Amino acid sequence: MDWWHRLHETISTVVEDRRIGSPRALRVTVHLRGITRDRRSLAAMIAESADQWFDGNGDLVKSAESPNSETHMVSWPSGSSALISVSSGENGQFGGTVMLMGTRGSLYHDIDGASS
Amino acid sequence: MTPLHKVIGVGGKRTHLEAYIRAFAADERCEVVAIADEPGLSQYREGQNRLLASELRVPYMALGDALKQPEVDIVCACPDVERRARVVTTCLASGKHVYLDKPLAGSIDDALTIAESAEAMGSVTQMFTHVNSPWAKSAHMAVKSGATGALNSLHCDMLMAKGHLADDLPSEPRVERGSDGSFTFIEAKRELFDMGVYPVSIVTWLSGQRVKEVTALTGNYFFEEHRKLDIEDFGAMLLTLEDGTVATLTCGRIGVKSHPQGGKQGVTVIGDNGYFNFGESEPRVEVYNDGHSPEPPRHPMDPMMMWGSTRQEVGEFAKNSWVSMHASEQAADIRAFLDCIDSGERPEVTATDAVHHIEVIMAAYESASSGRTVTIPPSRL
Repeated sequence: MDWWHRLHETISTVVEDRRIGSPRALRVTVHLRGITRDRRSLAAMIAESADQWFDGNGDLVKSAESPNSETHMVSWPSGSSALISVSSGENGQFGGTVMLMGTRGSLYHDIDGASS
Repeated sequence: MTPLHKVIGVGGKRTHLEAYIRAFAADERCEVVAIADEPGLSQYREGQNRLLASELRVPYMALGDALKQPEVDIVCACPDVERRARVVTTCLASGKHVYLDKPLAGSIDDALTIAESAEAMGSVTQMFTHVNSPWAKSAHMAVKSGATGALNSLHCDMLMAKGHLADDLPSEPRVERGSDGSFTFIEAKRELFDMGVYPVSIVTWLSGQRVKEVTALTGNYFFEEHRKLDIEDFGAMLLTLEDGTVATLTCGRIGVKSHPQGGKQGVTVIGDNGYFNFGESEPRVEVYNDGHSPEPPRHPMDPMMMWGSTRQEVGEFAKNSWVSMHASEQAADIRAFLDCIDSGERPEVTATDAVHHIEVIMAAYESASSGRTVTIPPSRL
């Protein structure tokens, strides 16, 4: 999951430089080709990143899990929120999107083969 | 060609009618013959209605009189959502086909009233959504053809890059108190209601299923106008469909400078065959040049940039780095409605379909205010 570490660092720089103001809403959707362990690991890493960007520990509002996907709705005491959905499967392309919306703007990233 | 259909519009400037009615007028099958509405409106609303009639060079009429014209067969209905059930059922009772503004109504009871009236009269109804847009049709084709494989999850966003971000909103989070039946204000709208209907309609249409459970949250993240009204500018939902498929959605406004074009609008389909993404901005041509990029102007009566007419009044702010390869979504949707009237086919999103959107949105308000997951009861239709 080196690609997530690189993406995390890049987004953290944007957040720390206040280029989108205070982050308010995170939306991450990722589909992996791989095994369940990778999916769970990535979902945990995204949640950790969100805690850092929103400057606190999020509270799980709702989770929905199936054999090949997990989706989490999370909120923070500041009112900020996140929807994190990670799925995995044997077929198809790896891909996804990241969107972080803040009080002064938003950032977007398309996850694709180049990300990895 | 002699127009096949005579159309009246209900509403006026600073409603969606100002765009819809021009799409009807541009279709060679239609002739717009009047703008009409109920008597006893506020001076502001009637004035805006009369202005639109004047611009279109058609008479402004009392709704009852306009509906008595037997040659009129279509009403494009964009009354305020709070009086939508009364106006639309009046139009349906006169035997007209009705193109409906979204969302269908401000309550489940009002939505049912409209749908039952349409079913009873046998009228063709269609509510404006994005299902006839090229990106949604591509997603639909991918799902229905089996290209995606069995559907595992859907993720839809409808975030408009409009409105001027606040300089400094209070850090105290807004507390959702649910729906009190008021959704539309001059300077802003409740975005879970107004924008949420788009992704809800995409999810139910693509999946062909009703929503079983709704978990939602709302926020006032971006705009002072929403804060002053104590309404949300952002909403998110986690949905469980009837067969257990999971869907998520985000909706709202994120600021005019927060996206290179109109906003983040599209759907991601996760199927047995992997990841498929369909977006409003795809495909596109990107243009970067030494042209001037002006600050987006602010209209005092429309700071959220809701209406085309107000944008023209302050000087259109054109974001033109991304050039879409598709025609207007409103024109495509209205063309599809006319095609259905002419062919006898059922529109993709009728008044009956749209009742469920209101059920989901109302469940979302209940969830966001209670912090609990809300189960939607079986259809009452």
